[in-house]
Amino acid sequence: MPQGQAAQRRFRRSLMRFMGLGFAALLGVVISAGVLMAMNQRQTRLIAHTYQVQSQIIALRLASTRLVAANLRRNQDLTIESEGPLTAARTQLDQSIARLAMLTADNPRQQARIPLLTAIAAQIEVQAGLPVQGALITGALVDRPNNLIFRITRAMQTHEDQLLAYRSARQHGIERGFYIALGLTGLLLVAMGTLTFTTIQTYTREIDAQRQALRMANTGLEAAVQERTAELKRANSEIQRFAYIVSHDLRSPLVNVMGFTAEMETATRTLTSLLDKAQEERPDTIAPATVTIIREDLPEAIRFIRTSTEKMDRLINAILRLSRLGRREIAPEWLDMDTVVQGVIDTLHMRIEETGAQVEIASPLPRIFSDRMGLEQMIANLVENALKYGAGAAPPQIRIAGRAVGEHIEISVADQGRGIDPRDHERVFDLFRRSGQQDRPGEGIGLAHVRALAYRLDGTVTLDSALGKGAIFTIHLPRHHSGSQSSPQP
Amino acid sequence: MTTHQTHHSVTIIMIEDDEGHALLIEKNIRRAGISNEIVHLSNGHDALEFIFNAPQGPLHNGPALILLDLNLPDMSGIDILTKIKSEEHLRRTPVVVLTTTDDKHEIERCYDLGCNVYITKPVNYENFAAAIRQLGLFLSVIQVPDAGL
Repeated sequence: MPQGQAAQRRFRRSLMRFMGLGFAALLGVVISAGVLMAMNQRQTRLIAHTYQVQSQIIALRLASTRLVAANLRRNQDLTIESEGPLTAARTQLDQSIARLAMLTADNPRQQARIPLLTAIAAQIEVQAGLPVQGALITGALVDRPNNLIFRITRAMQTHEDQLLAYRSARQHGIERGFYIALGLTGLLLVAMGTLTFTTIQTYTREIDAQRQALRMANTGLEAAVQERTAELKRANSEIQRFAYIVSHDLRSPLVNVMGFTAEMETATRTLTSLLDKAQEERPDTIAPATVTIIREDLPEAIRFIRTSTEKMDRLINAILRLSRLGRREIAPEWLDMDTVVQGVIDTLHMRIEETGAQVEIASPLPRIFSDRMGLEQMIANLVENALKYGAGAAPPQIRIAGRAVGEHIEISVADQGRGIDPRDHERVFDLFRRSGQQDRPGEGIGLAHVRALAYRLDGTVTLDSALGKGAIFTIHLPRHHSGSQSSPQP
Repeated sequence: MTTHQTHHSVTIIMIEDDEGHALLIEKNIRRAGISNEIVHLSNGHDALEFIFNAPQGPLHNGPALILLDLNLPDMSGIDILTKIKSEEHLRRTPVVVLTTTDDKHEIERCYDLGCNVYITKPVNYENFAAAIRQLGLFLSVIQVPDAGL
């Protein structure tokens, strides 16, 4: 069904397309998720870094303030004991600047501020390290760089705040992108699923429709086959009936022809004796034409009528036999072909002895479930043929063999006889047709009979031969004959 | 007078539609030296009428021998055979079936129905004549039962 095939192709194509799309979408979502996750992680890391920098800035300010405070206290107390906190604060300041420098190593703008911070810190430390001076001056001196530090760090902080805002915004952007990608993939998957589902449903419906159509077609086909078979059976039985009636009714007038020909023969005999007598007594009264008519023409005519009617009788009998063949009930049974063939050979032993033929049976022959009479008749006809058409004066050599080919059985009858021209291989199986030199009696019935029987037993008969090369007739039959009407019996 | 006559002279009733066959059969019966009266009937209807209803027919008068052809234009000879063999007074009248059929089933069927002899009409004239002559011999030997008594 070309329509079904096209639909199937279409379905397969669209299914492949949808599956490809689906896989592409899944791959897309995995890759984009990975990429977005990586980007997100980086942003998170950067935000954390910014927080770190900010806290370090605060620590720096604290350290700076602490140093200034320690310096102030030392200047007020003027005690040696206050040198300790001062030194600690100084170290703290240096350390926080170094740490900040390290943290902002990736940021050139922040980095640019580090030397400034270091310088100011150094100034503060130098002032703090100086011997005690006037409190006001010292305080002011120390206070200024401290303010400077505050201003610089505020700028740094502002910068970091900006970075934080930017990075947070980017992270949000990435997240949004992630969700959009996810949503899109979901939509794609839903669309693909819907399409695939629809396609499959359409296709299933199509298949169902086709299956139903096929079932209907099958049913129709079965009915058509049954109808045809019935028709053939009817035609066949009609032909058989026809053959029977024809041959039957043809015989009736033939009886008359033959009967009255015999009457004429009797009359001719009387006439001949009358003529004999007349020729003896009054030869002068008889015209020579009359003598020819009585002595030659009449017997000749009668002879021709007789041979023709005899032949016609044989032909009609042949048709009658063939028609009976078709009407005969087939009775299949398990047959041991060795026994069957041997039986046939035994019935032909007179002919075999006459011709001096050598008959060989290639035992064992296969067993077959078929009609005994049919097989006997076929083998007998083939063996008779082989006996009849030997090569010259040499005694015929006949070999009967058999083998199983799958569920079929082959029985072959081979001879070394005169052979049959391949041109006549089909012809010899026709009724009343013969081949080669017509020097043997026969009506061309035997092989027609064999073929009719083979057909009747659901088989065939084939011929392999060439002129002067002998002939091999092979009967092919099902191993297990199951009548076409009845179911096979176990 | 009539009763006495029929006791010994058997009427041959020939049921045969083919005039030629009828003539040949008659000729050969005569040639075989049989001079019995031959009544020729050429269809089944006339044959049944004669056998069952005619005053000189076998049912009402005298013994008979029936030569029956199976292929008749108006009915099958088998039907006639069946009717003859199912009639009490005709049951023992010999029936010779003479036909071109040598079908085994048909022959068997005729014997089953009570036919006494079945002769296939051979086309070979000599055989046919011989068969009829044998029939003549059969006719002269056979004890035909008196249908009337």
